[in-house]
Amino acid sequence: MNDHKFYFHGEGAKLFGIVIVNLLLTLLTLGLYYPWAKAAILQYMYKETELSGSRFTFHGTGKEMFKGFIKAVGIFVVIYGVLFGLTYLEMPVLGMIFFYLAIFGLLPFVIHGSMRYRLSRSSWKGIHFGYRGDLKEFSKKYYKDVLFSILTLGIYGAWMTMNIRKYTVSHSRYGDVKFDFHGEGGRYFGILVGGYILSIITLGIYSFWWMKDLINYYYNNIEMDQNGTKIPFKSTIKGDGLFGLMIVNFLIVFFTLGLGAPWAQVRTMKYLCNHLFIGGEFDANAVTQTEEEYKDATGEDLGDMLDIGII
Amino acid sequence: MNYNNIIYYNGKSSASHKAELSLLKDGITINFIDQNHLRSTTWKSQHIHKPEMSGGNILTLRYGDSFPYQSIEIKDRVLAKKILNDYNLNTKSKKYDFFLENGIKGVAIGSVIFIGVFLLFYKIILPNLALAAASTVPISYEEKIGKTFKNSLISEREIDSVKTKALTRFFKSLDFESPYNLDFTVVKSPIQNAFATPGGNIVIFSKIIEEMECPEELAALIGHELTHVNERHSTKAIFRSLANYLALSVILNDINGITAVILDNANTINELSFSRELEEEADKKALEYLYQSNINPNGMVSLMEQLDALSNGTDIPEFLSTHPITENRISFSKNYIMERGSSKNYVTPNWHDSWKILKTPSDYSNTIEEKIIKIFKMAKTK
Repeated sequence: MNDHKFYFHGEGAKLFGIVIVNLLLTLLTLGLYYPWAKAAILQYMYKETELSGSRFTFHGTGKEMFKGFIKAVGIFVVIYGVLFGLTYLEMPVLGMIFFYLAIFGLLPFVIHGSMRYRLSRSSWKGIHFGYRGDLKEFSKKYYKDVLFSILTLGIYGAWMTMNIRKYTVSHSRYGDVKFDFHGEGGRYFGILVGGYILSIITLGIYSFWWMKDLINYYYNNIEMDQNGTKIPFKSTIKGDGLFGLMIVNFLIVFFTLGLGAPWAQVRTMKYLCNHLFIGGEFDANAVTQTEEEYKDATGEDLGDMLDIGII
Repeated sequence: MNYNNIIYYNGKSSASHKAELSLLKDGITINFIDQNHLRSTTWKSQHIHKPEMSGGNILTLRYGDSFPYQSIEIKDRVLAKKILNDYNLNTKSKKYDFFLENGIKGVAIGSVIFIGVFLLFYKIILPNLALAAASTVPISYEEKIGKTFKNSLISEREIDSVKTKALTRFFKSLDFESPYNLDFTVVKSPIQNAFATPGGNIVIFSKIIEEMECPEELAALIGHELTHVNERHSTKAIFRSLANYLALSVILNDINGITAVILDNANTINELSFSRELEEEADKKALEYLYQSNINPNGMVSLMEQLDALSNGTDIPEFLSTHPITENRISFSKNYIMERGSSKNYVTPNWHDSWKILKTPSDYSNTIEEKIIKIFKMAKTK
C-alpha cells in the first residue's frame, strides 16, 4: 500500500497578488478588511494543497469571520477599557492583573472556538472536518494545567502542551475518521530541554534539528482511526532540509524588504507537503459525512488578536 | 464524452465517482459510476454555488441548499469554460484577478502601489489621525496619568523640598503662561537631567541647575519643558507610535503587539525622548516665552552650549541622551534671536532668592547614582 502524499501547487507570484490586495484594502479600511483578507489567503492555500489527487477546500468567508472579528474586537475593547479604567483610578497593578487573567481565561475559549470553526470549514473530497471537544471539560483541564505549570515554575508546561494537543487532536474528526495523539509530556520535555541546550552549545545551528524534532514529534504521534484500522502519520522532515529552507527564506524576505514573504511561504508549504505522509491503510474513498456545520469565527478571530497560531 | 476528467462527490461519502455531464438548459445532469452501476443526478442551475478554480485548471462546483453539499471537480479546461459561460457562472474576483493574471508585471505594479500607499499612510495620514486622536484626550486624564508616571519615575530619588519650593517661586517670577496646573519638582541627583510628564509635571534634577551660569538658562530650560507640557508632546508621541504600530501590525498581522506598545510607551515616557520636530518646537516656544516675558533669550544659547561642551567630556549628562543638542539646534536658537533682535533693557525678574537656593551645592553621597558609581569603582580597582 502506498502512503498518501501531499502536494502544494501554490505559486509565489499568485500568493503575492492576493497578499498585496489584502494589504492595500486592509490599510485603506483601517483594518476592517482583515477578515476578508484572511479568508482569501486561507481559501488559496487550501485549494492549492492536494492529498492523493484531491484538493482541500476552505469554506469560511470574510463575512463570517467579520462577525467573529467584531465580537472579538468588542471583547478586547472591554478588557482594555477595564485596564485603562483601573490605571486611571490609580490602580495600575490591579489593572494588569485583571488584564492577564482575562487573556489567560479566554485562551480555552479561543482554542476551542478556533478548532471548531476552522475544522468545520475545512473539507476534502466533499467531507468536512469537525471538532467535538467540550468547552467545559477542556477549560477545567486547561486551568488545572496552568496552575500546575505555575506551581512547577513552568516545567509542567511541556506536559500541558501535550495535554492540550492530545485533547484537541483526539476530538478532531474527518467525517467518521477519528484522530488521536500519542505524544507524552516526558518525551516532549526531553526534546525541549535537549534541543535548547544543544542549540546554545552550537550557537544556534542545532536549532534547525531541534525544530525538526519538534515538528516530527508532533506529526508522527498523530494517528487516524478508520473503522478500527489505525493509520499512522509519517514525517520525513530533516534538519538539513529545514536549514536550507529557512536560510533561503530568510534571504528572500530580507533582500526584498519583506515583499518576498509569499515566495518564502510557498517554499515552506512545498517543503512540508513533500515530507508529510499519511499511511496507505487509509481508504480515502470510504469516509462518510458526519460532522455538523459551524460558522461562528469568534474564537478564531480572538486567536488572531492574541497572535497564537493554533492550527 | 468520457469519464476521465470529472469526479463527483455526493457529500455523504468521500468516494470519488467518475462522472460525465450533460448540459441542460436550466441545469446539469451528472452521470456517475457508483460501484459499477451507472447512476445520475440533476442539478438546477440556480442552486449551483459560486464556482472555484484551483491551480488554474480544476473547476469545482458545489450544489445544494443545505449542508452537506454535493460537488464535482472538472479537470477539462474547455468544458469548464463552456459551463462557466453557459450557466453565467463567474469564478472571477475583481479585486484579486488583476494581480493573479498579470504575472511578474502584476508583482511589479502591486509592489509600487503598495509602497506608495503605505508611505502615504505612514507619513501623512496616520500622523494627522494621531494628532486628532491626541487632542481628544481630556486634560484631567493627562494630569492623572502624568502624575502616576512622574511618581514612578522619581520613586527611587529623594525630592529636595526646599529647592522644589524655590523652583516653584522661580517659575512664578517668569510669568510664563500655561493652561495646566503646573507641578514642579527638584530631585536630588548628580545627574544633569530634566523632564516633563503629561498634565504639567516638570521634574528638574538639582545638578543641572547647579552647573548653570545664570538664571536665564534655567528660564530657557523651563520654557523648553513647559512646551512639552503645553503642546501635549507626550500624548502626541504616544498616539503617533501607536498609529505607526497599527500600520505595521496590519502588515505583520499582529494585533497583540498593541499591548507591547502600551507597555513600551511607559518606557517612552520614561525616556522622554521626543522626535526631533517636537524638540525643535520646544526650543522655539521656549524662546517665545523668553521674549514674551522680556528675559534675555541668550540664556537658551548658553544653556545649550554649556550642555554641548559637557557632552565632549567623559561625563555625559543624561539630559543629552534624551535631548540631543546638535549644532543645528544651537544655530537655530542663534538665528531666531538674530531675526527677532535683542533688546538692551531685559528685565530681571524677582528670582534672586530662589536662584540662590537652587544654586546651593547638594550633598550627593547618599544618592543611588553615587552608590552605583562606587560599586563600579570598586569593581575596577579589583
